Amino acid sequence: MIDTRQELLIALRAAAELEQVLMVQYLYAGMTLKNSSDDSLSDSQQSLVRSWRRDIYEVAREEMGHLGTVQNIMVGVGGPPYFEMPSLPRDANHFEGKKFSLEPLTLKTIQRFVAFEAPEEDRRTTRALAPDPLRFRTVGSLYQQIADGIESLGDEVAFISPSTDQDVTNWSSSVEVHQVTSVETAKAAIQDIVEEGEGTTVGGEGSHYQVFLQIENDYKEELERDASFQPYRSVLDNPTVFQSRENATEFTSKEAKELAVLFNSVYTTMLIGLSQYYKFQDKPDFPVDGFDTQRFLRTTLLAGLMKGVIRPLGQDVLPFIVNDEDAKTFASPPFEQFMPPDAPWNRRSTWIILLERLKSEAAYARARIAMHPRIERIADSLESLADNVEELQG
Amino acid sequence: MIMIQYEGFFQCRLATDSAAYDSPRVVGGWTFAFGSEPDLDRIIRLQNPVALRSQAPPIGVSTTSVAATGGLDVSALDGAKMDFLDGAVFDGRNGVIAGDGVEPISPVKMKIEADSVRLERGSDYDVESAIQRSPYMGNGIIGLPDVMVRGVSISNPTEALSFRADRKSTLETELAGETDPAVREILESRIQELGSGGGAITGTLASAVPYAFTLKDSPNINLPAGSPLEGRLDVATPWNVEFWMGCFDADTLTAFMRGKIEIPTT
Repeated sequence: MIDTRQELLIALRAAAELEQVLMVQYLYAGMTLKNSSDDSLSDSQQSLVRSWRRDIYEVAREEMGHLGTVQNIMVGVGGPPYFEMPSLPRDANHFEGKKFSLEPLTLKTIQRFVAFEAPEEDRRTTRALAPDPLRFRTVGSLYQQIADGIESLGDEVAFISPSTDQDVTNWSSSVEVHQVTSVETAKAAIQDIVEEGEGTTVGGEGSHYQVFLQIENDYKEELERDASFQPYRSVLDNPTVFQSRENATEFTSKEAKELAVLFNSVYTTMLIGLSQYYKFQDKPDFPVDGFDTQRFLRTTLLAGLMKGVIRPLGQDVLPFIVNDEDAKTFASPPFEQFMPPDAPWNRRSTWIILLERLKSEAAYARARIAMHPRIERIADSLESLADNVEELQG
Repeated sequence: MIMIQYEGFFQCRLATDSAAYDSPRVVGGWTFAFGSEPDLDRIIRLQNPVALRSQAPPIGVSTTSVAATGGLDVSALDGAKMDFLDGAVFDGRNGVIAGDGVEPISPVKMKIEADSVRLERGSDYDVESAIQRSPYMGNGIIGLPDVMVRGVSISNPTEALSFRADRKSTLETELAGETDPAVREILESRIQELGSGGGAITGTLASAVPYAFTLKDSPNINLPAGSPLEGRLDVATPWNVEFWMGCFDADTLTAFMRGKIEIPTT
């Protein structure tokens, strides 16, 4: 049972980690789907796979919104932003017999996604200095405990940080972030997260659960029509740039390894930027009249890294880089964190770190443009973002 | 002060996520150039659309109300056509310049033109500069209340849910009576796309992005001899522009714009 701030912060960290772990698994499955240039799919299969990618990305975007709302609750109740995530694979202890694992969209994968988002009721009960162990079997039951915990602490005890420390902006039509400043707003935000994920207790229309169920049904039907149907590219499960953990598979080719290293690096840079974004401060970071640093972070630096670098690298480049000629496998995005993606307390220091990282990532990409035609654009994007940060630093 | 209000449909044949912003035909994304249609070019066309698709509304943004203080005769601007010049685009570049709903319009140069009157004014800026582009960025995606959507592209936002099915059915009827192979190919592709699921098209029908900035460069003004506007337009003070662009129909690649511009007078 959650009835202390400590227990609440532990649960919120678990929720933040869970949202990110779910999101990267969905992104991995979406990024490694075949695209319309792949002639192994019929026209109708291409159309089906294109709609799956769209639906899976939409779910991933909503998970980003959930992650943002969880950061708002975390900051509201006195915790720091939290963007750490274990590298995968990993036992999904709370989901019976399931694993968190980066795998392409096999039927087994989509069934795992259905299980992650499945509705189920579950609850439990000791107030002490040592926190009660956190137990949950579904995403919804974790959030229900967080909502109950916030209610048991009450408005005045739970929400100790000023509301100006929170994000009040929707990032896009599907990345909706809730400001949470009271028991009432927390419950409403959590209800939205749960409904978008599981729907109601039976799984509402348009919920992640229903989206994945629909894909599972379509997948089975397509396999009945065409037993050779394979909507994903031949990529490794749980790839790694070096053998750093059990059950991960190290890339074989130099190109796959080097570009996956770039992916891991820019993903970490993006998380450092997010960590900076959720440390709201009254005074501007740069002495530029009327310039909104937070807006720049959200609408250019983070959007540019997500849409202009991470997605094309993960979706359009890596799955087309040969990893193993004999085994006919291709590269894929490993989503590995080799350091906690925290922004330092001093915001100006973070900008220096971000600039260093962007410049070195741009140079690294520029040195590898011969590996794939899209890498030059990715290098351009990283240079443009670095130039903007440098311009602001004056 | 001259207060001009304007509205109308425009065309923008742009690539969308998750395609590269300058994809000519789009792999991925939810907007496409089909068959014999020219490549996507991202240009915001308030007048003179290119390869306009069937079921698209008539394109043309024009003044709906022109008023002035001090009894100035501004009737020459009634029904004037508005336009962006020099191939203006929503310049987001997959987030590297700006993300969804905040893309700056670049370049910014507007024209108001009636029979004998032409007013052009822009604001030169470097879109690559984070500081310089900031005033010309959109102010984020807003949901349009029913009253604003009514009479525009759909009767109310809830109808957006059946929009794809209704449009698909209309195009299927069109296809049945069409014999031109090139037109048939485009219709077939649109029908296939509308039948493939995906939610972007309905989401964009009932949302918009507001813009507000000033036009501050030296204007080009052409007036007929003896015009009551002669010498009355303040060309030193910036002109304030506000508008929203929205109700984007991803099948016809058209959208709606409504706004106002204020021109100070001397």
